[in-house]
Amino acid sequence: MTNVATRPTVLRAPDALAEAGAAITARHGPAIFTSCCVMLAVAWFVAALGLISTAEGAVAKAFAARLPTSLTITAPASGLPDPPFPFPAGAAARLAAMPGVVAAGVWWPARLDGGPVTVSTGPGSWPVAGLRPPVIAAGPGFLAAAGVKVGAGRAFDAWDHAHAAGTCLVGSALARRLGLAWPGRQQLIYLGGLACTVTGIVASAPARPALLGSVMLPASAATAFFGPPGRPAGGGPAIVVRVRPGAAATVARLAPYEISAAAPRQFRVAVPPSPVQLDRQVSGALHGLFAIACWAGAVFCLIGISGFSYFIAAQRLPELSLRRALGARRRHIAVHVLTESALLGLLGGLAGAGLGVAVIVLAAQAMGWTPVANPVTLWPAPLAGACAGLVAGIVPAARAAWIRPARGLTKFAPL
Amino acid sequence: MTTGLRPPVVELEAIELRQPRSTPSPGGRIDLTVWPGELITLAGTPRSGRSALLSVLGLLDRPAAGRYLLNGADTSRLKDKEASALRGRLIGLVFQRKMLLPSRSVLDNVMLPLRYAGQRGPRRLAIALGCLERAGLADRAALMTWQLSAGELALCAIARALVTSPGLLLCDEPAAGVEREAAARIGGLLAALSREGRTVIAATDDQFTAAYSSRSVLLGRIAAIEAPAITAAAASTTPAREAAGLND
Repeated sequence: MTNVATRPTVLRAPDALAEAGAAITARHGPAIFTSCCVMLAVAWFVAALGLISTAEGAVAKAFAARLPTSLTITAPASGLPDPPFPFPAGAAARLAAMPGVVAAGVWWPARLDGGPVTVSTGPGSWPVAGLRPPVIAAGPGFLAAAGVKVGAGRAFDAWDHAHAAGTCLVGSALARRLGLAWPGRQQLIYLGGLACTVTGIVASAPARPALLGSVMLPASAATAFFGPPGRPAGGGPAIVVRVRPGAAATVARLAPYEISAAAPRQFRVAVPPSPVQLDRQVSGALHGLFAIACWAGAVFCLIGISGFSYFIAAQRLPELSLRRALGARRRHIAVHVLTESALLGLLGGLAGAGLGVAVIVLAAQAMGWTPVANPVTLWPAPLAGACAGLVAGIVPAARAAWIRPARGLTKFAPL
Repeated sequence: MTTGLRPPVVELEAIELRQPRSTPSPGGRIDLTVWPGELITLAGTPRSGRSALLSVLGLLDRPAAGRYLLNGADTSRLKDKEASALRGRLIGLVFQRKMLLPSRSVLDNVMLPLRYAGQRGPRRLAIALGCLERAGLADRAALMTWQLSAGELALCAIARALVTSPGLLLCDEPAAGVEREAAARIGGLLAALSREGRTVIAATDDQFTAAYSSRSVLLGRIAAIEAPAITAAAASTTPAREAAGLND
């Protein structure tokens, strides 16, 4: 055999790509169907994964709204002679400076001679019948920690705290019962017979709604009026800490050390129960359901792609036989079929990724959620389409590669 | 070119064809030796097995029995890689139905075998245009194949077969269904190729091609006749050529 004649024939990659492009253009009908199959499979996959992320985000957001954002730190009585004020000086300020903490402040229920403080609207008048509202001594930062919003007037400020000013805030519910009108002339109420100027009415206190039926005065004024806080069972001073969502557990763990690194065990931190575990269970169930739907859809679409690929390759058999007659080897024929199939898959994958993102955005808009699409699922989508095309093209490629050229050429349609 | 100097291109020994519908030759066997530079016509009735024989010669099919030596090599032992290389580099095929891709231009069709021959773009284009020019279709290069006449289709198919400069050209009814002028051009082109030293085997009843041929092989009920080897130059004085009135 002459050496030139037996030099193997070749198929370069650019030629294979060009031939695949030309083949797709020539038979655009079946090619569109195949690409549509891949597009639907990839779109289904991307949309399902994106909707999982979006739904998880929505669930997380819903649960985050219910995460505890308020902690209460107390110092339980030890049974020994305890100091009247159990927290070191500046404890609340140090807590407020911690990462994740919004505000912190001390409070205690003011008591006069061990009993409740009476509240009246005149100097010699009797207290309103049946009314024993709590009188709260509020340290700096307490109002912010309790989320107090003053609807009318103003809150007491640093000056009031520094000068033990006889000022107070009245909760809106209590103000209605006391008949306090606002705006109007300066309002005075009497706490245990001591006059106190009402600087404002508390409109809301989401962290402690009970404050709407209370009177609050600066802790320094409360100490001046009624003496230092007592330590009755369950009624001693406490620090309220307002934290950012999700920070409660960490702040609760570190707060006792921030108050007193030497004796952190003296302090007890109360945290409302967290719904994190429930959040994880709901997210896990969602993920499982979507994953099943995702894979089931992908398998069905892969079957569809295989069918179309087989049809296309069957249509191309005469042409592929001609290529064999012109020098193509079996592997070249397989490469032709696989390249076309992979290219269709790639195009379908690109379109599918776009469609999937559109579905995620539209579905999220309809549900009022924030659309979330993980790039890790988006970028490989066209590649996944190409891989699906490759897998679907294996059987047709093998069939086309092994057909006898003489047999395939008999089916060539005359011009 | 003499038979004594160069070995035969094709040697068929007791070949039996697989074509089920073809009429077997007496004894069912074909013996034929083809020398370099010959232009041989295969004659016979329809379904006499001419196309099937060309398929065997073009390594598109295997014979049911017998031995086929191509350039001295036993083709039954060829692997796909070697057979494809021979089809792509040594053999040029012109099919009865021309088999041009309808969605491609004339130039693309002619360049197709060069993709597998490993020729790169510019060289591929130059070779294809040269072949089209030789076939008289240079001004048709940009047309789609469905825009060509029957004669132009036949010439385009020959141009595609020539594009890899094959030593053996196998033509199945190259002038079937074409007008008289185109048939004459095809016959002349095949004769010119033969004179250049290429071996041409054409299954045809066309008198022009037959007139240029060095000998004819009749397939069918009559056994394949192998005439004594003659040179392409000698073919110019064959009675067939004289009968066709084509002597210079």
